[in-house]
Amino acid sequence: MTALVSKIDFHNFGKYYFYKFKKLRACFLIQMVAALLSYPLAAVSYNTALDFFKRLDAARDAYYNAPPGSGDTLFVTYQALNRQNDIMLMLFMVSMVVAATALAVIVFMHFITPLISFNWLYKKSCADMDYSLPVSSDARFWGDFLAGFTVVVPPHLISIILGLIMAQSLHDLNLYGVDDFLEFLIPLLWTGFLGLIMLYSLTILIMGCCGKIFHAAAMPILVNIAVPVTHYFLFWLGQNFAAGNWSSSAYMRIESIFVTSPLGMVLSSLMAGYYTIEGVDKALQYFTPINCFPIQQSRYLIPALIVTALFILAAWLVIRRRNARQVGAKAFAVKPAQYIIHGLAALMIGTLAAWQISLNFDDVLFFMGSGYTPDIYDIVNIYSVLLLIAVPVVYIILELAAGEARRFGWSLVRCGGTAAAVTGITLAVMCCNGFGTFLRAPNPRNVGLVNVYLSEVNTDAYFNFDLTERENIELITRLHNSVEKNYAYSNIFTVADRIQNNPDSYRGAIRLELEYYTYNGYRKDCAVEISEETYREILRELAIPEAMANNCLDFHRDTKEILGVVDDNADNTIDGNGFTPLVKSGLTFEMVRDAIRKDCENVTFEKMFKCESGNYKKTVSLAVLCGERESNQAALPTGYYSTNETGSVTVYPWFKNTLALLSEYGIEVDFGISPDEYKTAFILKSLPAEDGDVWYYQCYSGLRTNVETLFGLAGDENYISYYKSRNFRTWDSDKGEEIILPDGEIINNIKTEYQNIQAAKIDVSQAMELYPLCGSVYDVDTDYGSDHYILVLSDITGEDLAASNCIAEAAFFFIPAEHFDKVSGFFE
Amino acid sequence: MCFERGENVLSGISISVPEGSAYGLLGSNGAGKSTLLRLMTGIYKPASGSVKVDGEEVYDNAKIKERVFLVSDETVQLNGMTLRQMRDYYKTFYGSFSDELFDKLLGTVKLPTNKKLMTFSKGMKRQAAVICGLSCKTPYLLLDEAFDGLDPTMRSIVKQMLIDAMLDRKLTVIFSSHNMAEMDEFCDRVGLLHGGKVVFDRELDSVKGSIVKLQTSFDREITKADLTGIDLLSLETSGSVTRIIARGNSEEIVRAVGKLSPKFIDEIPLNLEEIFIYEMEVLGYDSSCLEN
Repeated sequence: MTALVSKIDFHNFGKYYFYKFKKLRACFLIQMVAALLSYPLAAVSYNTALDFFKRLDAARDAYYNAPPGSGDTLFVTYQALNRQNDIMLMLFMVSMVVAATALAVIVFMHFITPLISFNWLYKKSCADMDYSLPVSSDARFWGDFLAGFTVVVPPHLISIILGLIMAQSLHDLNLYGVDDFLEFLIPLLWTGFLGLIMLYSLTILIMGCCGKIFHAAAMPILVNIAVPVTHYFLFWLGQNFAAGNWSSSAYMRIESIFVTSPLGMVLSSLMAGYYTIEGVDKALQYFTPINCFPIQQSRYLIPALIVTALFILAAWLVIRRRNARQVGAKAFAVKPAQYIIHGLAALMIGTLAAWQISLNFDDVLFFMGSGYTPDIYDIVNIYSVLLLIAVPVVYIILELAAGEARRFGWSLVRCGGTAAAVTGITLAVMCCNGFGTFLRAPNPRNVGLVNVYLSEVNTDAYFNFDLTERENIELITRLHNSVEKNYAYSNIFTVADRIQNNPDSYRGAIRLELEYYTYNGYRKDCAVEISEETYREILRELAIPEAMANNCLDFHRDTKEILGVVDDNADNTIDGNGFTPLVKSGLTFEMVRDAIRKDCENVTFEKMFKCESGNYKKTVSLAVLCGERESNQAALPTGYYSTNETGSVTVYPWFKNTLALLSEYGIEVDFGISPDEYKTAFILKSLPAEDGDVWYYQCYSGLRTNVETLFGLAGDENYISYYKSRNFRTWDSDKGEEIILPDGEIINNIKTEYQNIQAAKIDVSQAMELYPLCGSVYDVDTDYGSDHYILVLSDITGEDLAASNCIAEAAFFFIPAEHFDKVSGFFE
Repeated sequence: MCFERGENVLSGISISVPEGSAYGLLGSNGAGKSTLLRLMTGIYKPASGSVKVDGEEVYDNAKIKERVFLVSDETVQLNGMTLRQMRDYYKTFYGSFSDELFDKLLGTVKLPTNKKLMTFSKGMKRQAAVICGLSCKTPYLLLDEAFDGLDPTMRSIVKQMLIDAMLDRKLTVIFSSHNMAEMDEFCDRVGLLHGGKVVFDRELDSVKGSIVKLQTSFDREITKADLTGIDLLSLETSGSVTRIIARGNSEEIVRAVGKLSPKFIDEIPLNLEEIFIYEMEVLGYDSSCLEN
């Protein structure tokens, strides 16, 4: 470094700078004109249009609201303005097009100005002239750099400042859900400003490495495209190939590209804005939209500034050592730059081409008549092979364009080396989980909300709740980091594809999904298959008040007021939802949430998960109002704008505060049977089958709502009357028709149908002795889905079953393995 | 010495140019004359060795570059300027620029000052460049094919300008040209380049005196074997006349030829062009390829 920057000399810098600025005065003039025609014109145009349309609206309202007989003058005024409507629209559109074009000119000038001022880098005649001048190399570089900088940057800055001053009316613009659109635009403007400075610096650096005009013009464009595309693609590749990473969006929001390239700055900022507006609903209440841009975060801004400074420094070091002899002689005056730029271009084009083909390779195989579906590992292999083909092709083309292919042997060596390097880099990214970085949860300090979703694939059991408290988020990130990641839910194929292709792979699979919403609106998803043991461990960790409470609440985030209980038969409707109104108004979502939260303060694992098995909880559907108050919603009782929303709250018998609150507003929750009402008890024995896990859940799910069947399985004769009263029939395959079973065959028939389940009817008193010993299905410490005993308590007797058309209520409880000996005797 | 991918464009160059003299660089096409001038101006950097002006390295030495001015063979880079702009341009960087001299020289050639150089003829562009170069009043003026495109009158005017400057302020001029006649009448010292090397670097009189041309006639055919005692450059027979060109002392060469009993011996003075051609022939750079 010392040798590189030795003998710094700025002889005649001032003279050279002014000479070059004078030479660029035409560019300066163009830039100033473009600057005035971009943001300032757009602002003026918007203000003018806004003013006009406000006057038009006022005139229209005045006319339509005028007392009868007094509207003639108002009509004339309104009509006069109305006639100008189309013209104003047209002028507005034209001025916006002009402004956009002027902005494009500003961008273009950041690229073309260094081409003009540094023409001695690639034009021999200019090289002789400039190098012969009594100007030091440092003065020459900085004179050209700063002359060009003076030409392009201040006009752009003036444009932004003037535009912001003139566009104050945008503060009131509410667009795409953002209240203050000007505040939303400001970071984008400054991103563009910083990005163009980086563009200017990078262009000079790349030009400094080139010796001919074509390459001096083309290579900066190539690099400006290749760097962000490659960065984005490699990051996307690494993230999607990382075990457990899941994204529901084809295009991920990747902010690190802000740091490394001007185009990356713009793209990442636009993505940030888009995703903020588009759908980060959950996180919007946890962050301010205007803080979503990378430029507002020091972890991106500072590195971007450092990278820009490094571009300038590198350009200076490269160009001050340039020799006039190199000008016009070869495409690249700096050999390493040739390897890097060609390698980068080959990386970009080769990887994208190879990736697209490999991703659709299953279509290729299908077309070839093969039924084989490639999995994620096949994709990697196919991709690697294609890459080793694509990269050399691209590289050879670039070498030919640079006139470097005449020494064919060395070209081949460079080609092979590049192909190997590119393949190695992408494989390392794909297969190493980003060296662990993609496996980790986001920093909990940056997370505003995490959604936890636990589900069992082949049952309807799931838990879904949001956590916002810092210590709970930290808990989740700890769990995330400790859980072993797998490829069960690879982004390459959807879950549906994998199930369809390999139906055996998800028997009893348990899925953990986490969605993180950061304060800047970024969303990261993780989805892994977890073992039973891990599942139970996680459930124990998640027996926390916030999880329990949020799991019980299912409302739109904008819910304001609760109107009543959903009842489609009721007379009251609101936008199609029938509901029974509350006995009094004023029940808000916040009140319900606070009551449940209070009830969950002492939640335990047993309380939270024990009763999943039975209807020991009740979900109440409620008609709700969402959104902000609208002035014209006079017909609605509360004055809020209504949406077709319902929400639900799940309550447990021990939710004293919540039940009291609901009762106060006329909502009485019927939990069905309570232990006092139990009249019949059964012990079920579920025997393992070949597909025991799947079958177990299926029959368990079926039985949960069909406890009447248990009477039959237990051999209760009352089942026969029940069967007949329902006119159940069965299919006789020999006769090929439906038949009514004889009495003697009804019990056998049901036992045959549920051949793997045995049921024994026991006294309720015996059941009450077993009841305290029961736990939730998650508390069972035998292998999941193997031989279980289940206690079932029903509110009907056999006589009730035979005599009436009632539908039984039942509660299901799992008996822990250590107590199997207490129940096994019922089946001997 | 200057390298280009392992291939030497110039190698082992060592010449000396006395102050206030006119030095002519001769050489075949592609010999490296322009490269050498650019090295001297500090445009190119030598791969090894040094190029010094007044004892200091010239490359990337802005202070020393103020003492050297190159009038390049290419003028396309000046096309967008007018003479007035050219004056302002050079005046900016050369502190010794003289408006008075510029106006005086301009008055001599009468070039338009407000028209862009792209409207000038080749010769007019050359004149403009020379005027600017002289007006910068640098101690050293390098001219690359400066007389190319000038009509005889203008050539004479430009030469006089140079001579005046050499006499007035001891301007040292180095110029390359293919016009041997001009070099012959203008230069004090010449250097011949070929294949990137210096063939000779001597006073012009010494160069002329080192090669002798004899016109003789013999009764018999004379071959090179008969002239082994002298450094023969060329032997041509046309009819009865034999022309012998040899390097060395003229008296000794005449004596050696005299031993072969010629009918007559006439010593004919050589001009620089002939010296150039014969020296190049020795180096294998001749027109024999056309005969093939």
